[in-house]
Amino acid sequence: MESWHYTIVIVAIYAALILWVGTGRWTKVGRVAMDDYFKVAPGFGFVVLYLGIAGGFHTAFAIPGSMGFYYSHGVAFAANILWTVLTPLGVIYFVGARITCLGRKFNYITPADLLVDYFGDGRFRGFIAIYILSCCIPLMTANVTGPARLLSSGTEGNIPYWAALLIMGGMVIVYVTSSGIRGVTWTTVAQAIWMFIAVWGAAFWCLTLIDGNLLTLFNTIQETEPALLTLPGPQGLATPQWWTTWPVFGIALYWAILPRGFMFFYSARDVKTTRKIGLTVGFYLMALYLPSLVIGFTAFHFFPGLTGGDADNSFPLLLATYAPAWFAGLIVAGGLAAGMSSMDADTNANSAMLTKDVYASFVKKNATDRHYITVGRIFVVLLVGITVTAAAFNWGLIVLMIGVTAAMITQLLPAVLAVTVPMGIRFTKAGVTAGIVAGCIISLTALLGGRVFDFGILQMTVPNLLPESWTRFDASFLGLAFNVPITLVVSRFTDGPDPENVARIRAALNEEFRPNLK
Amino acid sequence: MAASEQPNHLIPRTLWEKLYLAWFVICFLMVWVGVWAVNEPIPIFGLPLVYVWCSGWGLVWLLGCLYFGLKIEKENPTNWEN
Repeated sequence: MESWHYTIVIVAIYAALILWVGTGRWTKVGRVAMDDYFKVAPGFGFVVLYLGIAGGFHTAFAIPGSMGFYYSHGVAFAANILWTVLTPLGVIYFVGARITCLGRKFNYITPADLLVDYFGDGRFRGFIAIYILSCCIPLMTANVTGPARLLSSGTEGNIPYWAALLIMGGMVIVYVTSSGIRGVTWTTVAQAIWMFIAVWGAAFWCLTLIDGNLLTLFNTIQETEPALLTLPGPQGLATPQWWTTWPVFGIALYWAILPRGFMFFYSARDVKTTRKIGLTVGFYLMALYLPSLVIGFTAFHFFPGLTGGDADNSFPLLLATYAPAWFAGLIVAGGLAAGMSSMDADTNANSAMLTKDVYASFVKKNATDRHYITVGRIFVVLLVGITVTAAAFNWGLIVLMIGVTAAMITQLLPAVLAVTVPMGIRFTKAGVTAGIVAGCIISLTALLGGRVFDFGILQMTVPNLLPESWTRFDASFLGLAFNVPITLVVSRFTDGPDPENVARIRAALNEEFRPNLK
Repeated sequence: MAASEQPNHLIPRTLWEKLYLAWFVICFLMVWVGVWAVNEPIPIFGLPLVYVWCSGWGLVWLLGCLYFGLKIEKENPTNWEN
């Protein structure tokens, strides 16, 4: 047998395990209801949801992206510690628990359900759903690209890139259409465990390549590229402006309010479960990224001088050159786990939004739940098809598009906080809508300003409207800097939400989070 | 009920909630701002100082907030009913 045969065997074992876990009897329920397909009506307990959230929040950025980041920018990646801790202890513990509270109390299914229940239904629902959907497709595309490349290079090209995409997409379609959020969560439990073992296994294997001594690795890097050991890194990425805005505003604040986050929070058994996950999931998240430094620096030690996409591919190159075939297979499967665990969660969440917020609200109202679930399954196939097709093109824009997703989702934060955290500040539908639109325009201008897009017959340059010194800050932060004041000013002069809705939602939050206040 | 009569959920009420918030802010600042004070290529256990600083404070941050968070859960009356 050739070495790549072993890789294929291990990946096949992984695929069989995931399909078994994602379609087994534990993923089935007797009742046919939207709230038991897109989310889990009775709720998941701590362990399952912990691993579901831990794995589901990880994208292909975990494997191999994080290693490539360390390779290119060195310890600047330590900024990740900020979001791996800030998000659980701040956003999940404080905001996620409130989303769980309202989701369980009022049986929300989509993120728009929560916002329109407070601000009022109608076209606002369509706006929120389309806005969220438009920012999630690029993220889904980026998520499958890295693992598909890993699988293709891990099998020495015998599984072509396009076939790797089809394998991942096909598996996601099978278990998401079969079992909805249950299939997503149970497979993500298995994927979270697999990718954790893969990353730590890879780090220890890297140590054996450099005589098992971290100091040897440090000294080698200090001799060849000392800029990797301090900020701002060899390419000057981690400036104070970047460091103080990217990990907090570009990742931490958007990451937990992605649609997949809402679905997980809605699927918690109770508020206590979400709060316990907020208090503890940071240990998993931080531990997953710590070994990446050893892997990234080891790749630099053996293959210095790679740039751009080649730098991102440094870890797969290290595996292909030095790792035993069975071990490379384990890591490749870990990479698939990282990509698929977020792709399936995103697909389920986006399918729920298309079904409930668009189809059931504007196309066919008052149909049966069975009908809507069938439509939801069709949307799953459609979304995976779009994702795989988009990923098949060699876009140079994918990394940029992840930034677009982050910047756009972050603009929803004031609206989410307005609903979930009573704070004595007036927020209106017109206010949050104006804030979202303004924040989106500013952040996209910061991201895309000055760039030239070549569409063959049409070449387009996006005007650079912001001062150059501003664009050193993260685009999400810049967007929020405009979003918040505009939201507050417009809210001051426009009609507020229905007082009955506000009172009902605040009473639910007070009962849970201010229990001794009457 | 007027907005002014509503409890402000941003303000911590109990001692443990205040300690959780204080610990959160201190550790956050140590990672966020403090990193510039240790930005030197010095090995600690063979790892870069910045990396050890961030990871160390990250762990302290997690452990402290876990402790205070469990105390908050313990004193929460909604948990007594379960």
